[in-house]
Amino acid sequence: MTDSSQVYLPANLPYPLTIVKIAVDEGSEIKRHSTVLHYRYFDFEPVPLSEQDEEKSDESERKLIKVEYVGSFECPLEGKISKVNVKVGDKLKDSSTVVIEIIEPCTHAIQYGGLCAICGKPVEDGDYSGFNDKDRAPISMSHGTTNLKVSAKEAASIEKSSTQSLLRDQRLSLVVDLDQTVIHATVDPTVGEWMSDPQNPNYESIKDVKSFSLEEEAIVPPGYTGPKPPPHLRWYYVKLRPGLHQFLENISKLYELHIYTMATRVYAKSIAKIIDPDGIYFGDRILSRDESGSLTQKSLKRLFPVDTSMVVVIDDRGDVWNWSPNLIKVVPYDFFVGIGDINSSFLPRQNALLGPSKRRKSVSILEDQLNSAAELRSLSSNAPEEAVIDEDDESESDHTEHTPKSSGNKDGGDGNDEDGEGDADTSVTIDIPLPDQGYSPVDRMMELGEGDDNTELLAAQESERTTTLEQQLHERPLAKLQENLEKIIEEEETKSSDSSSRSSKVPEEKEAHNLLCDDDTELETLGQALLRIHNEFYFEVERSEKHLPDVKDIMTSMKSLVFREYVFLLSGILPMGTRLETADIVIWAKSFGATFVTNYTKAVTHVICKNPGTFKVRLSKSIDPNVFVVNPDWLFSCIAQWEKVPEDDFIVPVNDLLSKEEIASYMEGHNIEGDNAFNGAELDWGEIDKEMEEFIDSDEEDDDISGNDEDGEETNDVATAEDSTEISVSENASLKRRAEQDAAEDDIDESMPDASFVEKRQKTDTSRDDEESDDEFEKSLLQDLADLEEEEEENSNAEQ
Amino acid sequence: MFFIKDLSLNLTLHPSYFGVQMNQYLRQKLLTDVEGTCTGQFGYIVCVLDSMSIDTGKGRIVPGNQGYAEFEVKYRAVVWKPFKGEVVDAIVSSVNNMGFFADVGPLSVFISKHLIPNDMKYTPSHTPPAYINDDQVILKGSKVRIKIIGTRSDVNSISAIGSIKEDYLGPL
Repeated sequence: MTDSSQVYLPANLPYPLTIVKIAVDEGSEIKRHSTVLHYRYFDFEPVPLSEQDEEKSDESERKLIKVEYVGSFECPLEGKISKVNVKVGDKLKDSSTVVIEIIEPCTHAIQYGGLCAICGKPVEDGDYSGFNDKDRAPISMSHGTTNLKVSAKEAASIEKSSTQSLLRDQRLSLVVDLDQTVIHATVDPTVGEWMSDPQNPNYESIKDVKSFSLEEEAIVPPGYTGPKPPPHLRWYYVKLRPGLHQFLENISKLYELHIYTMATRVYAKSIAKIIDPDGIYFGDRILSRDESGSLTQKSLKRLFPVDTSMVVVIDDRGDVWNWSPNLIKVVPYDFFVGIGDINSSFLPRQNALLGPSKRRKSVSILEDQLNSAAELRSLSSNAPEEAVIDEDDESESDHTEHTPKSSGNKDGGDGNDEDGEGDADTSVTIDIPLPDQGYSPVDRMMELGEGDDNTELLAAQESERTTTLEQQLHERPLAKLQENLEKIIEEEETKSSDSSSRSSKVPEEKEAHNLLCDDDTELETLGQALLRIHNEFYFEVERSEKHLPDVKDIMTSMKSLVFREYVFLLSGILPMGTRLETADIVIWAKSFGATFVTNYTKAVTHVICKNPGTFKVRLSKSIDPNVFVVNPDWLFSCIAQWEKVPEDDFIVPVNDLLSKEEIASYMEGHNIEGDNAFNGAELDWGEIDKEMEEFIDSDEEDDDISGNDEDGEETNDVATAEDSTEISVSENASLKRRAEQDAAEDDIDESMPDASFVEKRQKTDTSRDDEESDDEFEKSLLQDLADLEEEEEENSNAEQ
Repeated sequence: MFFIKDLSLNLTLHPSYFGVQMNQYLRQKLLTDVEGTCTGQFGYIVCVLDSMSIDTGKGRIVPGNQGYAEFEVKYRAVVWKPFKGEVVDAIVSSVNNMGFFADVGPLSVFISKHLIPNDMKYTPSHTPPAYINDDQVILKGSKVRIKIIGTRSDVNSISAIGSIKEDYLGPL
């Protein structure tokens, strides 16, 4: 121990003070709590009571006088004093001066379980002087335990040595998440049944599912004090992401692998045993929820407190990492459809476009239904069980209802898709993070105090997780989904046999009776991306010996090339009311260099949509024929491969373009020719109203002249809209209110051009309103809207 | 160090257990309750001795309306308590860049890298990770002889720090 420790005065002394005596000499040994120096300070005290003013016993009324006091400072450390930096008579204003320097026999830089791991002495819990030895080693950086703590200096030296050994081996560190990144797990016992039944349509894709059981405590109702129920076994079914073994084998040559998961330690260990039976890839480098400092966030600082320049993270959730620049977000591995991540029930639920759509249409329809079901269920959280069943019926009846109506559509499937989204839209404004419970105790606790009381929170979380799992166990979502899937397929078949024009449709109906399919290729592309990062890093290392590159910079620059100079417009992707900056997909694509806009501008290069019927899409394509209208899968495909993928396979054909007049009126109305920014303050609303009327008229003319296709579709849609209003009238009042709200706020997904135009206007307006709330303007807009609705009704009546 | 110690435990029994089998039940309960536990005062209770001659004593009805009876059960047990300076044999349970953990029976001892001979280097590329010098290797599962240099007893746990940086210590 050659380094001396510097001793400061505590910050809570009555500064300013004057040193009157120094009790130690340089070079002498000092014991803990022996006096180092005496000091003098002043304070104000009430005048002592004398016999005359006994009646004035209230202290605040008495005069204050200046009193001189003497205090002493005791040394919190022990060792040999190497230097005394103050002398008698010095005036100290605050605690910033180093009083003495001490060479300690041990600085307690590594501590384990309340002991110094270097000298074996117990570490003081903090004494009367306020000094705490434990504070000297605050960093916990080992994987398996939080008991082992080190000081910042020690952490830096440990990290330096590991950096050197990594550089020597030409490797980097890779932190791997488990659930939905490299595996997908469920507790639904249906999987076990399917696995043992070779006749099952899912057997092919499910036969290599691994299973293990863990002993888990039974859930105890709150307030229960009786004997502890015995723990029971819970079986987990784990599907490895395709190509995982190849991936680990290749990547472990380039990266030192760590596991960082929000699951429990036993679970993480069991998974590690499955994906890495010999422990050659991960070894003991497993960090689970039990050791993670936070319950909602993952932090690289937990494992790499000083230097994260050689660390890459792969995870399916960006939000838990706070979108760290070290993160490669992967598309969640969603093998067991609708199960999600069984270990993150306490994290905010993710909605809105997590990954590319499923290959097969029927499954993706099912997924859409599922999403809307989850939303609905969260609305009616009082009776979850009932809601599930209800929703099943409802979605089925939805189908039968809509099939005849949408038969005029070019694609029945898309019509259904839209339905799903519409359903989801209705409840998005109510932001409920959990799928099943409306508002859980865990949330409340999270809000109250961010994880200080870990044990309590952990317990609450554990019971919540157990409840979710229990629910999964009983409800058997997979079996239900399979049932629904068969129904959908049946419907599709009848539909396809109905209409002769459908002969060209994809021949998916015959073979695809399996709910689960094994078609994920994420790891392959991810492996390539990791290889490129590694190569780039060590290329930089060789180029400049002295200055080590940072993997963050390399990744950021590599990623930003992908979508550079691209401007994206999303349409019908995010639920209404989602703010663009907070949507996962937006943050994700932005990290690849993309720019997003809320409304069409000339700069837009790609319109990303699932359904070409929206106004935004048609407008963009009409104004600029060169704009790419692509499926979101294009985005995912580019992101996965870290390079621009040709758009050809993902183009969404847009059929009904807008007429010249419509474009012109829109462009004028939105000032697109001039600067791109929409400047609402300068608009003359009277003029726009006039234009609006013209526009509606012209639209009607258009309909009369243009082909039957569009006409038919529109009447259909009008009919649907009317249907829904009728339903809502017959329903109770609250439902009606919701429907109205939706009608007012709904996304431009509705394909009536005039209505969507108004909504568009309203939308731009609300964005404007945020800045300067303009009441009058709002009124006029509402008036406009009402007028328009009247007109619409007249129109549709006339048509009918 | 191992000791034979006279100990006692208070057990409370529900009236439904009162009967011929009562003493046997008390003995059984004692064994499941104390064997393998750790107290800061006596260390780990390794084994209860003379299990047939455990003195269950006379029960005393606990005041109250439930009729529970309390028994003071006296027994002898082998206890093990680690002491500072004691040299013990241990099995390595995990190795990391700060040192390694070794199990001495029920006790997990941490040996920091400062207390590992300087020539033994942490080698993360070895599978599994290990501390290696020219002729010795410490990895998960290795047997090592360590000297306990510090212990801390809490109410029901003990933690300990060990060293192998002395003669005749280290891998066996």
